[in-house]
Amino acid sequence: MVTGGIAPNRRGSLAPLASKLTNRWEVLRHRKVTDAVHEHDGRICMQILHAGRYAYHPFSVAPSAIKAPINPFKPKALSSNGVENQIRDFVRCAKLAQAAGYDGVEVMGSEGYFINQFLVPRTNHRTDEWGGRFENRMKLPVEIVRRIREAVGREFIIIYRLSMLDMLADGNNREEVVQLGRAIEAAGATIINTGIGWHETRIPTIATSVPRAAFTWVTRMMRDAIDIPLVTTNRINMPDTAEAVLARGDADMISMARPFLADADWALKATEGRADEINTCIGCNQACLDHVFENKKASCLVNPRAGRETEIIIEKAGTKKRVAVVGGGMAGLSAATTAARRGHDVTLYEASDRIGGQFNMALRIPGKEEFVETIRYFQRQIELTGVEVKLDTKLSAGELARQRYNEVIVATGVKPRIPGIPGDDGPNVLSYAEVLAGNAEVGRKVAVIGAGGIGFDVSEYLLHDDVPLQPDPDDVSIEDFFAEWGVDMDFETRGGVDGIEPKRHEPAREIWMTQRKTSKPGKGLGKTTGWIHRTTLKNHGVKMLTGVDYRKIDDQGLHITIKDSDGNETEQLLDVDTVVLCTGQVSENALYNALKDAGQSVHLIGGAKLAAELDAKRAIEDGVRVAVEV
Amino acid sequence: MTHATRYPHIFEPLDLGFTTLKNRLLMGSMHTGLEDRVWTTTSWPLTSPSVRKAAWA
Repeated sequence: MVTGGIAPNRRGSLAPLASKLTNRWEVLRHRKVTDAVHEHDGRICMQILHAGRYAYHPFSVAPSAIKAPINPFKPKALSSNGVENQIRDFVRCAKLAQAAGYDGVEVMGSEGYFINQFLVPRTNHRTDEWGGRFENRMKLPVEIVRRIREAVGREFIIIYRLSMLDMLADGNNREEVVQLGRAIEAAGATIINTGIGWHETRIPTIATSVPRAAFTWVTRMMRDAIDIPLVTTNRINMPDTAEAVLARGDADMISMARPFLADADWALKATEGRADEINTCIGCNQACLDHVFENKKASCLVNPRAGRETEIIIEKAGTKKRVAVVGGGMAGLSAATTAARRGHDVTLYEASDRIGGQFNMALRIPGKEEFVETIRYFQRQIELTGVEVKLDTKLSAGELARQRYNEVIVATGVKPRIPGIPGDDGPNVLSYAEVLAGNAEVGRKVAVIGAGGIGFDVSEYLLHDDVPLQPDPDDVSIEDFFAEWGVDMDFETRGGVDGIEPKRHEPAREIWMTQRKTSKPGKGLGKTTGWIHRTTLKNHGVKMLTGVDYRKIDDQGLHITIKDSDGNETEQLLDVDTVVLCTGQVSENALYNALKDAGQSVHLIGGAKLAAELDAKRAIEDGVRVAVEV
Repeated sequence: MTHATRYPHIFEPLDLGFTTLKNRLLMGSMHTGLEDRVWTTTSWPLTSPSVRKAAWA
């Protein structure tokens, strides 16, 4: 294991009061962690992370006083003496980590943090011994590793996280990366870990749309030059993928972070041949990375107990009850399987012919293929926990009441909201649900009304023809992904991207995406993934209109009025063949109210309870929370 | 029963000279918002899968 980043000094910390390890008094607190890991025969290294110009506070320091594009604070340039002090603090931090019982440290040299900032001219304009030619720029990490090794002795793991592919036009080239890797090995590192991209890189590195194991070729390129073990990483989430990466010799080890939030028993299930029981990380970032950016504790969309293991406890129920769950979407699946795990006798009613609810639509969006895994996970949990599933079954409140269930959990979900624009019931109008079901005819020119998460997803979907009904996450093409984002898989250019033109696929349709609000389209999308969706749509010619008033829809198309910032109004006709409504959804909660009136003990969860935005994170959490209480 | 043979590379120990890692899996660094509240570490649920499994059996 490697811990989250711990700063070697106050200035290098990510944010005010973020964790640091700078004195003996702080050592005791770390002991609790290292003791707990060692009790179970694990090994744990502490990551030393100096944020440099990525520090979100006004006291940051960096090789040069150049502001990062993703941070409002401008760093102070270090004096030569100041650089020496930072190295000394890294060494002190490593020694304290050793005193705290860690088996080693990881020196964070990638993702655009402090050390990485020395390595490239973009952030290093120094004229002293730490700047100028590459030999000078790379001296900092080499000195840090060399002096840490000197201080900690031979029997202490030093992992160096090497930025192997900066994905910046002025990033390091292949020769420089190899040169640095060799020097790091010679300086005494035990293991080299892979770093991909900087935080300011505008190419996805870990999002759902990144194909599985997309970046292991980068680590592979280092293997001939480096003798110590290499770790590869990014979007490896299932044992078959991990095994294949190791078997073809791309690396000696696999690093995964989010997959262990999704399922802490990942390794156990793999050893016991139960890979089909793994709750798979879908790379959504919604409850892990996005939470951390919002200053909340990380959890996991598919596993709401992550980070809350002591708060949400799934125990055997005191009394076995007969429980009905109505609705086989995420909320219902999560409630049914959790309740059954607790020993209850659970029946799950689903009106359609399959479980999965809205996920059946989401998995058809190109780049969201991973969502099939969540449905597979719940399908397997149903089998394991003995939930009785009744598909194609819609019971009335009266029929349910007659079954005399002890508890009924209503997870009936949502239906698309119809906005009430004149003509929105016309033959050229479809809801997002009709489009994503895959059997409606959509014209070549399309207006998408609503630029929220669903509007973005539907637009992405409509850019393609022939989207498979049941995609396979292992079939997503790595070559196509890198071609689309302009990455050179031969790494013959600087940063792997310099001068490479992204290849657009021919968009299947001409799309206008409209919204009433004047704010930036997709403002509500995830903090760490919203830019990816915006970039993809823009690159494929989707036109985004804001401040739109909808007058009517007729056989000519969509008639709108656009208000600009000065309040001037222009009437416009979008002469589209099809109008797709992505105007939110409303809760399906009639059953709940009827059951309540009948005096049934009943609980309302998921979209049926609150339909503000389709929210799988809340749905799954609702399901678990209600199930631990019934 | 062990099915480690299905993933022989994942579960092959790695000898680092002075210590040996049990398998080829590394839980990578990530900020969880827990490490920034170190005073809460007493409630850290660092229970291994095997321990949790035992509790379930």
